[in-house]
Parts: sequence; C-alpha cells; structure tokens
Amino acid sequence: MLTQRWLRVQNTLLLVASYIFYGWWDWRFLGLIALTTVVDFAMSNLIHTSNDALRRKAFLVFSIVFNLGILGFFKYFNFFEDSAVSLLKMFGMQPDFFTLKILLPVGISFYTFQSMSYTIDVYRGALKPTRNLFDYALFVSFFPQLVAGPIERVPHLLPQVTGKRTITWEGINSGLALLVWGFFKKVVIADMVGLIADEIFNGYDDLHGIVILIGMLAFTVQIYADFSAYSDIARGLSKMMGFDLMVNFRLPYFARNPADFWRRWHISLSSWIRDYLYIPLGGNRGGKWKTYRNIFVAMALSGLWHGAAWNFVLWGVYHGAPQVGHRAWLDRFPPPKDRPPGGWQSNALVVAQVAGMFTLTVIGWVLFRSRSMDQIVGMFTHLGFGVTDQALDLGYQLAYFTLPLVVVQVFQLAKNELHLFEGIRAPAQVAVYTYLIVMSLAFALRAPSEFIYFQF
Amino acid sequence: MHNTSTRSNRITASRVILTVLSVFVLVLMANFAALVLLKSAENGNRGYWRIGAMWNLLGRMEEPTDWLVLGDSSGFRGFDPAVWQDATGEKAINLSATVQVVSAGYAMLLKGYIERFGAPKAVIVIHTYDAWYREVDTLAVGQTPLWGIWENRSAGLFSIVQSAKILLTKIFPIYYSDTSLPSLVLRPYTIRFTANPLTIATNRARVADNGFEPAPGTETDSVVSDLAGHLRFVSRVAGRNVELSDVNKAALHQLGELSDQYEFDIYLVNGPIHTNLNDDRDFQNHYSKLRQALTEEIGPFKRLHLLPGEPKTFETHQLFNSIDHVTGESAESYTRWLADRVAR
Repeated sequence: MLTQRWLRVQNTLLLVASYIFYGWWDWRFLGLIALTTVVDFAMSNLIHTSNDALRRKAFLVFSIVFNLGILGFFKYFNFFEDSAVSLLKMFGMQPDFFTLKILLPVGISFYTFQSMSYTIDVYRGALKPTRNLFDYALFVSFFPQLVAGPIERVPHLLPQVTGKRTITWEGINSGLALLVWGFFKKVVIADMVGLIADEIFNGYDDLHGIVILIGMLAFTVQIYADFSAYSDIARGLSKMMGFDLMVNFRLPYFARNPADFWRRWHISLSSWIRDYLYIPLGGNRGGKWKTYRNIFVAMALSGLWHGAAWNFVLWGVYHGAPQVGHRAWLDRFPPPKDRPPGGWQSNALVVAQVAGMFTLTVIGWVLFRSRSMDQIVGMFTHLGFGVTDQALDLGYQLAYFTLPLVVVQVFQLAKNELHLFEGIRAPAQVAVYTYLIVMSLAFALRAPSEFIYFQF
Repeated sequence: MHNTSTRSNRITASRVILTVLSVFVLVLMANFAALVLLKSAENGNRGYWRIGAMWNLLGRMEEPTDWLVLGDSSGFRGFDPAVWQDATGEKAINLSATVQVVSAGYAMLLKGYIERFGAPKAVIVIHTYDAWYREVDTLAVGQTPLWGIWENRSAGLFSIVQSAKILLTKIFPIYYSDTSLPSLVLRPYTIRFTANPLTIATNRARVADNGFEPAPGTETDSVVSDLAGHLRFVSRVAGRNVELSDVNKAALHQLGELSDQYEFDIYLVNGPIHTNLNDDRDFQNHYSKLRQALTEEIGPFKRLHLLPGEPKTFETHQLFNSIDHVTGESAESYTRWLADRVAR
C-alpha cells in the first residue's frame, strides 16, 4: 500500500494542473471558473456563519442566480433571443435584436451544477463549508471530471480532497482497466459508429429502409459509448491518483422502465436534478398530479441542460412523458408485493420490458440528434424494411464495432459486476488489454472527434 | 473512502508491472504484424507500397543504367524502359513512385542511386502538373523501408516535425498508417498474401526489374470522372499565381546541385495528359504560370531542364483510370515520344 504524506503539495499540484488543463482550451475562461469558485465559497461561508434566516436565503439566492446567470448567458442567450424573435415574428413583428457571438465555455454546465450543489447543501445544513478556498477550488476544477462529469457531490469528493488519500496497486490496476476500456470505447466504438450515424443522419433525405434504423442504432451506441468512455477515463485517472469518482452509468440499455433508465443513465445529473429540483418542487409529496408535474418539469429542464436548442427540450419532454405514464401506471396498478421470483414467464417479461424501454430510448435519441423537425419526421417516415448494399455494409460495421460493448455489458449484467477487467486472471487481462490497445491504435486518427458531452 | 470492490486485495506491484510490460511487448509484436501486412501490395495501399518497392528495386540493381527515370504514377504507368531501349539503344530504369512523395522522393532516390552507382548519364523526372504545389505526404515518405541505402537521404528536404512523422510512420505503422490497416482489421477476410509474409517484412516484394507497371486495361468512367474534377480545379485556380511548395523548391535545388556536381542532365517532363484537359483554356493559363514558376526556380542550374512545348496528350480510351495514367499500349507511344524529345 502506498501512502501519500504531502497532501498540501499534492493538492496544489492538482489545482495548478487542473487550471492549466482547463486553460489549455481557452485561457480566457479561467477567470470564469475562478469567479464561480470564489462566489460559491464566499456565499457558503456567509450562509454558514449567518443566524438570520432571511440573510441566509439571500446568500443562497445570490449563489443560484449567479451560477444560473452565467450558465444562462453563455449557453442560452442566443437560444432565447432567437426563440423570442421567432415568436414575435409569428405575431407580425420584425424585431431587430443584436446577436452576440458567444463562445460556450467547455464544461460550464458541469462545474456550475457541481458548485451550486455545495452552496445548497450548506444552506440545508447537510454539511459544513470548508474554510480552505484552495481545497474548494480543487473540488470544483478537478481536471479528470471537469469538462464532462461526473457531476460530483461535496460529501463524496471534498473529503477526498481534504483527507489523506491512498494510492494502492489495486487502485492503479482498477484505474488502468477503466482507462484502457474508456479509450477503446471512445476511439473504436463511439468514433467509428459515429461515422455511420453521421452518414445516415446527414443523408437521410436520400435514404430509405432499414439503413435508417441502422443510423438510429448507431447513434444510440455512439452517445452511450462516447459519454460513458469519458466517465471511465475520468474515473480511471482519478483512481490512479487515489480518488474515487462516482459511477455515472449502470448498464442503462438494460433498463426496464423509464424511471429505471434514469437511475442508470448519467446518474450524476439525474440524481442532481432529483435532489435539487424535483424534491424542492415537492417531489412526490403533493399528491399524484403534482408528482407528475414535478417529474415533467424536471425532465424538461434536464433536456434543456443538454443544449440550447428545442430538440433537447423536446427530448427531455419526451422522456418525461413515459416517466409520468409509468408512474401513473404503477399508481393505478401497483405491483404485487409477494410476486414469486424466476420462471420463464418472469424472464420473458423482463426481456420484453428491456426491449420496450430500449425502443423508447432509441426514439428519444433521434430527437436528440436531429437538427430540425423536418429531420425528425424524415428519419421516421423513411424507416422501412428495404435492404440495400449500403445498409448491409453499414450494418456489418455497426455490428463489428458494437459487439465488444455488447459482450462486456452482458458479462457485467450476468455477474452483476461493473468492474470486469480488473478482476480477471493476469494472462486474460494481458490479452484483453492488448486487444483493446491494438484496436485503439489502429482506429485512432481515422475520425478524431471531440467527446459529445463536451458541447454541453 | 468509498470502496467499489468487495474482493480482497490481491493485486500486487509485480502483477501490475508485469501486465503493463507484457501488453507493451504484445503491442510491439502487433505493430510488427501490421508492418508485414501493410508492406504487402495485396493488402496495403498500392501507391504507398510502390514507394517502398522502388527503394528495394534500387537495392536489387546489379548494374548501373544510362537513363534513370524518376517521378510519380504517371511515370511508372507511362514509361517503358524496354521501348526506350528499342528507340534509343540505351538502358533505362523506371523508379517512379507516387505523387505523394513529390519531388523530395525523387531527390532521395537520385541520391541513393548515385551512392550505389555514381552519376547516371541523364535523369528524366516525369510528374503530373499539379504535383509542384503540393506539400509532402509524410505517410508516403514513411513507406521507405526501415534500413538500407535509403537512410539519411532526406537531409535538407523536410522540417523537424515532418521528419518525426516520417520516422514514426516507419516504426509505428499500427498508429500512423492510412486507412489500409483499419480496413484490414475491419474486414480480416480480405487479407491476402501472394508472397512469403516474412520476406514482405523487409519489403522485398517485387515489381518488374525495370520498374515499369503497365496499366491493366481502361476504366472509362474513372477517367471521365477524374477529368471533370481536374477541369473544376483549373477553373478555380486559373486566375491565381502558382506558388511551388517549400518541399518541392528544396528538392529542385538538390536535384540541380546534384546535376551540377556530377555533371549530368535532368529533364523535368510533364506526364501524359488527357486531350480535353490540355485543350482547356483555364488549364493552359494555369499550366503556363506553372512553367513560369518552375523556370524561375530552376534557373540557376544549368543542367536542370524543363522540357519545352506541350505535353503528350491522350484520349479517354487510351487512359487507364485518370487523366495521366496511360494504358499499357499507350505507354509505348508516350515512351517513344519522350525518346524523340529528350534523347535526340
């Protein structure tokens, strides 16, 4: 077991490294993340030291308004302006607003939410604020998870920043497994099937038949592989430094219903929305109609979080509807408490549920990926059973690149174990790592692309 | 700290280190396998394979030649040394590679030839018209074999970054190769070897001993499509001045210096070209500016010549798959035309 004695030195190095990492993209936005950090650090300490309920609330409101204001400006200004212009034009007006060319700071959606959760938790009395600005700054800017999550919570990450960390060979082994698997998922699976998705989504106008389905499935695979790859790489790097980041995905495509899906997909965001939006709205404590309303609002805003475009809101609303429907169904037909486990009928039901939820998810991804209503309509109306040479070729490629992911996920499901590679015997581990690295090297540079969630 | 694993800690330092080292060794072996795969003409990009094959041909030569022919694919399709010998009575060898190495590749081969045999009687450089403003493709230059007489021939031609990329291409093809390797990995059932894979690793896969590769027939659709592309290109650039790329300038200077030092003539010749392209006004405008730029660049070198007059033109049915690749039959015509213009 390795022990680290110079915590302060480590944290300083990590903080400097995190700021260099973030500033490498655009140094101008270092000020923004620093300002967010300072504001929330100050507000949380003011909240904690104040005995006046009104003042405490005012500090909280200031923090929330500040964070959402920054997010709103950089991410949503042009979106809301364009939407307002469109609305006014519908009433015959010709408004002449100015358009700002606003660059979206990478990771802003992630670190503002992460920082806001701190102030809110301090206000709720769930934790005491740290007195050390630099520790807090490291919590906000910790580079492995800064630009695309997971959105960490203070009780989980901050103690690891302030407390003694241990780097173990098990952690390094585990971190390596996540890193290698993450890179493979990004470079081989996500980027390669992304080419298929791009070809079909960009050319949908001239395409018909089963090739459209291939495009939908390709994007379904791409977004999961891409996003979960980043989370794996972030967690892997962190483990090698003695940090433990939260799991962000738990086999989401094996979800059996909408609520289950959101317990498995982008867990850090969905739990944030639940704790800081859904529950403050009332959660399920105000009767069924208020519960349905709260679910709907939470999902719609979750969609809006993803991007400044109406297709993301539509996607959020789309996911809200089946969640509400599922909730209403359970309210009307609650499952029997003493249902006997096992049996082929039970297994068949599970398979049907998973298949149904997967279908719903694929449809949702079409809304997410499409750039216009025409494209959404076109993708669904061009769907069919016609098979072309292009469909066969792209279908083969999709199957080829997706197969490793499916194999790993099935094993993870069967063993009920997310951490697959680190526990296997050494020769098997060598073989698996060699395969993953060789494939990653062979396919790298073919289609270099950013992680999808960097844009959020 | 939250512990995600319920297993006992049986991971030791030696296991992790051994795993990493083993993977490293296996990845290197996979890299060597990629090298073997890609050096075979049946599996890799044939144009890239040709580059390495020319160096091996140079290495296999047992006697010097009278005329050394360098250039791009318009050269290895268009120049037949047997026809040249028949027309002129003198020996020739065709070491034309591909346009991606631009004239830097020609300069490197010439230096290699001189190292082995001394100066030839004369050199012909056959190139397509749009080669002179291209930057070098480091992936292409990286197809020169790992060791042998081709070492250290690139001095003065490439930047440090280009040189580094060339080296990495040579020793790390698993990462730096083009689309050939991913295509083979994606479709392993397409892998073919017609020669011993072990000899392929040192790129001893052969071309004909005189370097000529006659085109296998004609593909009219490809020629027509390529012609349309070139016509679009020249209409776009017609009004602009022609600027030779830095690597081409450096290579021309080296060619000129070698010709002066060893006292032999070098003839820069345009490869075969489609009649319709040659007759196009925009092309003629562009081509005259190109010749002007080349003339200015080679001016200081007394024995470096730009062949005057129009290029030799061919119709669609006389071309293989592009505006500058002649069919096997038309290669005779092109070679005799060259013999008439250059050797006499």
